[in-house]
Amino acid sequence: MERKIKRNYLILIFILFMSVFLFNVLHPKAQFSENENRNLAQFFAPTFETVKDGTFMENFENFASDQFLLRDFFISLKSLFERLQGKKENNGVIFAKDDYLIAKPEPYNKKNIDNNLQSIIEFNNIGRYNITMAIVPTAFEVYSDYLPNGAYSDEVLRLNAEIERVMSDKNIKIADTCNILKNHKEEYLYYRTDHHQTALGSYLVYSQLSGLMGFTHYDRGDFNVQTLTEDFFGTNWSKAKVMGIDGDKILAYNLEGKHNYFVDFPLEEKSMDGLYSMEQLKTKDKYSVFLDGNHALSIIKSDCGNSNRLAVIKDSYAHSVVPFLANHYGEIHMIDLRYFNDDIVKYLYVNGITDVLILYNSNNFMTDTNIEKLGLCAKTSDYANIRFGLVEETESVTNEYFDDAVFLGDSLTMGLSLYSGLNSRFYCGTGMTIFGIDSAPLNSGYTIIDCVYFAENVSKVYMLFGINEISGEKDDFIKRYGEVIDKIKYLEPSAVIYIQGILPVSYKKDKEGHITNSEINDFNFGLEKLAEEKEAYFVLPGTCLVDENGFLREDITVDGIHLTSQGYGMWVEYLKTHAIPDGKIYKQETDENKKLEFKNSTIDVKKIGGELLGKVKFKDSLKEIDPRLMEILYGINPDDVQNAVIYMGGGATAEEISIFEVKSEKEAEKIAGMMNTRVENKKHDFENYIPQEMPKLEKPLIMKSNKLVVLCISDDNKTAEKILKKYIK
Amino acid sequence: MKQAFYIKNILKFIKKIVELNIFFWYNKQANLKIILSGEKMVFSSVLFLFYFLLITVLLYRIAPKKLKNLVLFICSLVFYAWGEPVYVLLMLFSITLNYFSGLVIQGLKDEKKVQKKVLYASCGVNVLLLAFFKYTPFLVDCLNGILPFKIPALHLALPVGISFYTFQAMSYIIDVYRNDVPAQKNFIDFGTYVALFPQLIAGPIVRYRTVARQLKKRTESADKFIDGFTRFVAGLAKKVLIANNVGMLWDSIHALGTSSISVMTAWLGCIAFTLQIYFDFSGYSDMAIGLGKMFGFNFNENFRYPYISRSVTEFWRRWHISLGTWFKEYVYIPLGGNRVNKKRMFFNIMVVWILTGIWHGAGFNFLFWGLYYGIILIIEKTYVLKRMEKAPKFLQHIYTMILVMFGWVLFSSENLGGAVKYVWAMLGFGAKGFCDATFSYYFGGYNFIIIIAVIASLPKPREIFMRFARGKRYILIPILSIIVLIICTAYLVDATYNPFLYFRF
Repeated sequence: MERKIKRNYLILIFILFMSVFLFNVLHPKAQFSENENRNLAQFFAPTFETVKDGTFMENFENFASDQFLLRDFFISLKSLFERLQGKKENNGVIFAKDDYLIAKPEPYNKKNIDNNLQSIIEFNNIGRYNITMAIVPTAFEVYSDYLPNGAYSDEVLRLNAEIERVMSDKNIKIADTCNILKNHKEEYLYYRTDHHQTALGSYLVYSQLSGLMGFTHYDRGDFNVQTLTEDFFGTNWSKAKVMGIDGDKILAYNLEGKHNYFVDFPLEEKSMDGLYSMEQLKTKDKYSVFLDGNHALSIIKSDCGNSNRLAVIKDSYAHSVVPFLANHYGEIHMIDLRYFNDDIVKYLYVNGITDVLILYNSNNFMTDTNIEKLGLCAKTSDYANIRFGLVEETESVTNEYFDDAVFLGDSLTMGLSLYSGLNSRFYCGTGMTIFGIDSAPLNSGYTIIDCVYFAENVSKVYMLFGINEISGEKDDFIKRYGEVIDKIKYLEPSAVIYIQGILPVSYKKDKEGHITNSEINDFNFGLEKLAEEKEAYFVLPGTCLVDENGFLREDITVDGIHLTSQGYGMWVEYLKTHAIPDGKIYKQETDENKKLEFKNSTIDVKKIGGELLGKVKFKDSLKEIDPRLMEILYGINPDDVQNAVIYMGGGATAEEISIFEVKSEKEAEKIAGMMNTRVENKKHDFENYIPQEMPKLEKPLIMKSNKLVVLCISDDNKTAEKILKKYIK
Repeated sequence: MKQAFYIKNILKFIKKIVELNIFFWYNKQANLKIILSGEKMVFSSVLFLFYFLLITVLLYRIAPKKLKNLVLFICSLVFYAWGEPVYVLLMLFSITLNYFSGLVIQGLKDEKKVQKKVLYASCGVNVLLLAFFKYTPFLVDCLNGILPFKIPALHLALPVGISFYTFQAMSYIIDVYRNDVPAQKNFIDFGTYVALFPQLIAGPIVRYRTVARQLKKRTESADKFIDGFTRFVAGLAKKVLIANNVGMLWDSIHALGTSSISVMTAWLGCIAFTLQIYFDFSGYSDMAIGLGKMFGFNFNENFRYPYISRSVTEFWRRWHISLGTWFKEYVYIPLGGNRVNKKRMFFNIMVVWILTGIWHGAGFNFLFWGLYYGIILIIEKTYVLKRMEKAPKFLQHIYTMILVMFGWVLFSSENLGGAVKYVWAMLGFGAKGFCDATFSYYFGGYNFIIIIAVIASLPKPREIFMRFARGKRYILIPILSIIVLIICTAYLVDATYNPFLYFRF
């Protein structure tokens, strides 16, 4: 008998384990757990790499428990046992009065709190943000009266005290949301089954923020209350696993017909009209109805009548506060640091945002470690340290740095253009002044401002004016300089502007009395201030050209003002060691809308261009430029051609390719004529600039058929002709 | 290729250790910032219970007799590799080193001097390995506190079970040296002894001589398997149902901080931790012993109702017996034990207890905890034991438990100040009143489990049950163990029930 039972027991154990095992391995795997609101782990086959670094094991462990037989049954069973023991909580959720399920706060973690606060301080130290902080208490603090006797602990109060202690005198506004919520604690401020605030609770937070953030909040009576759903069972309900509790109501507060809203999720290429994602009401996590729940980045736009921009760095508590704020800000960029992995400092810089609201619930603020990203970005972001004005000495950049630079100036800059050895574009003229910059034509016939307008691919603008204006009024000069900078910024919004301080003169010249270094210093001081004001950089090449008394060294000057070739070389060296590295300069994406479209084209001109580029010998490396320039360079109206492509060098050679597809022979004739004019103009440009390039311009290759006109300026006309004959019979 | 790379690295590592020229290597490793997870497979997980154990038992049953140890060895390596695959190489190195040391020591029987040198060398490498992996981060931390410059921190996780298997391996070579056992000639058998997964992670420390014969020949029977399985389930229940539960209570009270708790709450927390550590540790030992039985091994008991002790000396004869025996056999007695003058004996006791303390972990709290027991045991030996005999029994129990509980406070605190503050609060100094609502809240939620735990930590209830179940054991125990297993499974599955609120987006 005993033996038999023992054997049966063994068999029973075996069958039990085997069936559990087989079920776990064979049954169809669930993808998602609604109750827990997360994806369940899936099996994946091991590889050497995943075994080596342990990810396979970790995943398999999660898989083993996530896909366990009768998982929900076992979880309910555990909950039952816990309650039988007389526990007043399960999985960290307390069964409070009036069917309130209240999550216990995480243990008070001073280290993490201080890390987070320190991060925010470092972020604030960048110095360009206007930060408001709201750490909203959870129901555990506000509804402490509802808790069973003795369950209360004072983590939230300690957190608030710590914030107060660390953040006072840090120039960050701290919203006191705790007291206003407690004053209304008789009302429905938190969901009974969820850890979030109701819209009413969020309204109170919003009204508290209004004073600090500088807007006037609407009254409660201004809002229409709309019931979105009546059976919301939230996270605390899922955790506690209690039966027999009613669902929550989700209410929305709307300003009657006042504004339209639009929410964009740029990282997911998704968007929605209005503030509520009604789809989410069909899912378990109905709180996501507000702004569609968690996204790394959500942009809320409203037509509230201003274009103020606000960044909200937040957890999910913000989702029901931001709908209120959207009535006061044209654009709210809501960033969730848990998922947002881009450089946030860069993001704010690029989007021109300086108002920042940091909104977390107290529990998350105590435990979240992603807030450190703020401090990290503040320390590491290239955009954190953009300081305008005087540039300190930097690591030397290479000559390539200046490939996308233009130099604007007078005769000194002309000298630089001859001796610098840089592939930059120089727009300058003898006797040029800041006043003549948009009226006095250069040799090419265009003014400097025109040239800047036409120039493509400009990332840096170096300006040097002043030696010809020194006898005038300083204030007029500075004022005019500022206007010119505004103009250039308008024309080249993505370029960095370097203002070069006026170069000093030699001792002899100084003593002549027409131009003195003290005047120059005075002007330069004004320019430095101007640079700070206009968000431009200021460099003083003069400092490397002077003797111990501050006069231009006699050995590097010809006439006390202009430099010898050695002097120009030193100037270039100075610029190379006082340059903001390329990576630290924000480049705006080119505006796609402005690009030309050739809809009726039948010939792939780029293919021809590519073949020419590949086979014809060019000294320079030619780059494709914006075809819109045809109007400026050739005087060709874009509407007159079917298709066009233009390649040009960096400015050191006259090499150029342009290919136009035309409708008729007559048009081809006309365009070929314009090309000849172009070559003539170019000859004029290069005669005094780089005469070595003249032979190329003397015999340009211009070919045309009734469909195609091609210009190719190079030393290798033979190859070019051979290629083009394929296309032009 | 990769394996070759690791072996090469390990060889390099040995060379460096032998040359005692670790610093270069150290700096390089510190710069590499290798962070190993140090995770492990635990018995109390769905993964172990329903995948690993099942498969291992099946393979073991299917395997022919000759290959059974090989199956166990390989499964143990998989078990070990689960958390941190790279450290398997460290264990294989340890196995190889001690395997050959054993053979060499036995072979040098006639040359006592050389034999001794080999023993010292291999013990030295064992201790160095343990010390290196276990204490470097701690030492670096300490040194950085004192030194004017900073030593870069080494990002190495503690290899799981290294404290246990190193001690086991050392017991083997010392036993061979002492001629207590013949050296093991079969590498697989020796590897199985060191790596055997039931006791690999948390003991007991099985001395080689207790299993030497079982490695070659052991009896397996259905009875033994059932006994083992029942024992395992009992251990599982101790860990999952009791230790984890009272552990939550301790965590909650510990998190309150010493500044705002009442006397009663402080005592409740202390009781919770006292129960947690006993049920956690002895539960693990029970599971190990049970698993051992399922594979035909008989391990010695590791805990014998320590909380019924009437003196601290007795407590340590009942608590973690395998560790106490190890230190007695291999440290205390070689130092002269108590057959020396009093001063020397006190010194020996202190050495053993400092080592015992830091064996539990690299931290000042463990060091102080060891010192604490060393001092108490010396005092007991010289004054208390004789005088206490006349005192009423319940006073002896109270005396022992209070000292043990204070010891646990020390054990569980991150620093000495925190421990003193907590004990102070228990004694009513700086506490927030005698009893408060927090106490009644937690007591209300946990009194049931505490009562169960207290009952389960006493031998009497078990005796009563056994008397009651006499003749019906074979039917009662299977039923009970299956019920307990189902409840444990519910807790294990729930342990991974993490409503993850912000996961999906």
